[in-house]
Amino acid sequence: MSEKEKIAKQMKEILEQFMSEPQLKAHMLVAIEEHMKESDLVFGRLAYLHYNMFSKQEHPFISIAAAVELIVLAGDLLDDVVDQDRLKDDAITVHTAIGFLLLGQQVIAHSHIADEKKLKALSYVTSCLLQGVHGQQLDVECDVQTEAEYTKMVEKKSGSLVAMACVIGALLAGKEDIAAIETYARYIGIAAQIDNDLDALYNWDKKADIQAKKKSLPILYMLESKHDNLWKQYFNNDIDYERMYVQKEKALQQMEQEGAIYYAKVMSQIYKEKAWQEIEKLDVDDKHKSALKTMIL
Amino acid sequence: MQQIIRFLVEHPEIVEKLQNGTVSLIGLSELEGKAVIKAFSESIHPLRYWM
Repeated sequence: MSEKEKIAKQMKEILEQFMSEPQLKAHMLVAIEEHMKESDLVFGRLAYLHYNMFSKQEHPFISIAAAVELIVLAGDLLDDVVDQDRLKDDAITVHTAIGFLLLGQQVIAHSHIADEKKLKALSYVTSCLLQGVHGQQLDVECDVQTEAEYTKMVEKKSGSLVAMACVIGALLAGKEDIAAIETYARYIGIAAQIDNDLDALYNWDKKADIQAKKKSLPILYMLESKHDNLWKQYFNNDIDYERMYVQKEKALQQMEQEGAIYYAKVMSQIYKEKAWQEIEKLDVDDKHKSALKTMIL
Repeated sequence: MQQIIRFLVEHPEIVEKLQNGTVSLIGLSELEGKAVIKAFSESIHPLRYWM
């Protein structure tokens, strides 16, 4: 069984153990199965890897990896409600998300790990989730004007989630100095979000980012262009979404021709390389570094 | 970085020289230069942390 399959199996077992309301449980099970199809469960795997990196003893840690993945799944569902990416019953989605959010923390609280470590980890989860909410709100406000503002927003929104996954694993393993882990995890989060934003540009029907006028790096680049382009017209409200949508191929072509896509790819790569520089400094077994490398480069 | 990318898109011959190592970009760190070369070589794999 792969690591991903083990985490997914554990997520379902946690659901069985802690959730009693049948209808909500059924919805949560469907959400886990859908999540399994769409995701590589990277966050759970990062938590698992970081526990193994710093733990001095063998410990059945897969439940913590599942807990992290449940918290991240909660965030995904809430994000979908905010972005209106899924045309489903919002009430059920919200309850499902809240269920996952609490369930993840419940699992950490109930794990057979020293109370002191659990307290630190849970406090860190709360802190990261708060930062994530701040970042999400900044994103929804669509008030980003510069690369620096975008990076600040994304560091809160996405960097905090990757930091949560990596640092929880380290804290539960007894690692006290988490500064370096936090630094590279935030870089990874920024890079992953830039890549995700690029993906949204090619998936207008699946993602509502363009319709919501979210300014990702390639869009900021196009708005700074000295040439007139569809992105400027759309973001200046000279054309509406319908007119932009029917010209999406042309809009993307303009981005590619002007270098906006290269720009985003370069920025993403810079953060990946920065993360790798920090990881290389870690005093851990090379096999762990290699495993981490495959998840970022 | 935006200015550098705009320059490179307008001067693809410089991109080729960069990739061959016969020119370097002033004002960029080694890490940034490496990222530029990788991006223009299309040898970057996107991270799929969110779907």
